[in-house]
Amino acid sequence: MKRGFLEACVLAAVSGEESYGYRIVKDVPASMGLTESTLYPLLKRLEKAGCITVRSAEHNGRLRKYYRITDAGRARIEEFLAEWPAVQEIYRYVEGARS
Amino acid sequence: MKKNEFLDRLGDLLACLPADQVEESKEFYAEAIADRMEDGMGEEEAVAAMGTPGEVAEAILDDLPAVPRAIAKTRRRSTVLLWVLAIVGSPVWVPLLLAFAAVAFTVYVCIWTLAICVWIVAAALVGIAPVMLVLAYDGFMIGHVPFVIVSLGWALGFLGLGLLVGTAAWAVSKQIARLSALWVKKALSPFRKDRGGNGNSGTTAGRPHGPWGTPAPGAQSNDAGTARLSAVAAR
Repeated sequence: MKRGFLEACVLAAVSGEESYGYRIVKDVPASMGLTESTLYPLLKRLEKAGCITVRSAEHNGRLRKYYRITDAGRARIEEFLAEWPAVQEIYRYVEGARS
Repeated sequence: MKKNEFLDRLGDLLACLPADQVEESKEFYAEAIADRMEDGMGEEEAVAAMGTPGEVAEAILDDLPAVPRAIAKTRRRSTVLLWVLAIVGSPVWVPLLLAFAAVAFTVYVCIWTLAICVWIVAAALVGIAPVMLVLAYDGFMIGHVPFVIVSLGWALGFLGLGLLVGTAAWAVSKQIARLSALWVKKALSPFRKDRGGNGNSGTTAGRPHGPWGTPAPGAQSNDAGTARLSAVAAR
């Protein structure tokens, strides 16, 4: 479940203008606890699935990779959001255990 | 730890992977460390933020399918250990692998036997038509008109039925091509990564479940993958 959240967060982080590794780590809410070691496999997976595109560009005399969302990535975000009612239902069920 | 030290260590730990993948991983972490240093961190602090090289390598290897992962992890401990295990364990893993391949192949054959059955029924039905035509000819020769008409009727009827079943057989074959492609994908999933990054045991990309772990409505990404696979299989 957390993996799904992370994936959606990373997609959201590259959905506006293109972004790069460290900025994605900074942009994603701290509560997700995203680190580079989690981000790297995730970015590769998303790239393979065609959800993001990658380009290298020079920055301060070195190469930096920039990531941008694709239409497939946007569709994945929609899919994620469409499942919100199901999650709410689960939340309410678990919440019911308190009373 | 210094940046180069970290990257060298990471390279060593990932030595079981293809060289380009190791290079790509090292580049990613080199960039991440450089970006943190640009942000005002010291070199050691930036390197420490990545975690230990062991943890980083672990995260990369964890993304591999089951069998290459097991091999990579054993090899990381020691190449000798991998060979010792491979040789000593061969009475176990060779028959297991053969059994796995045999089961996979049998399921594949069973799936296709189904399609062949429907085709045989269709061919049999179409095959009756010429026989009926011969009977009609015989009736014509002896001048029995009602028999000729009935035989011609049967011939046309069986031909029609045969063509109908043939259409069904075609549809069934297409479905079965899809099924068998899915089966091949499933059977190979412990060994290799899916090409489109779609549907792989343990990864979220293209999973049959939604990103939350609940069944996805329509599971579109999966259908797209299936369609692509059946297109490949149909070729």
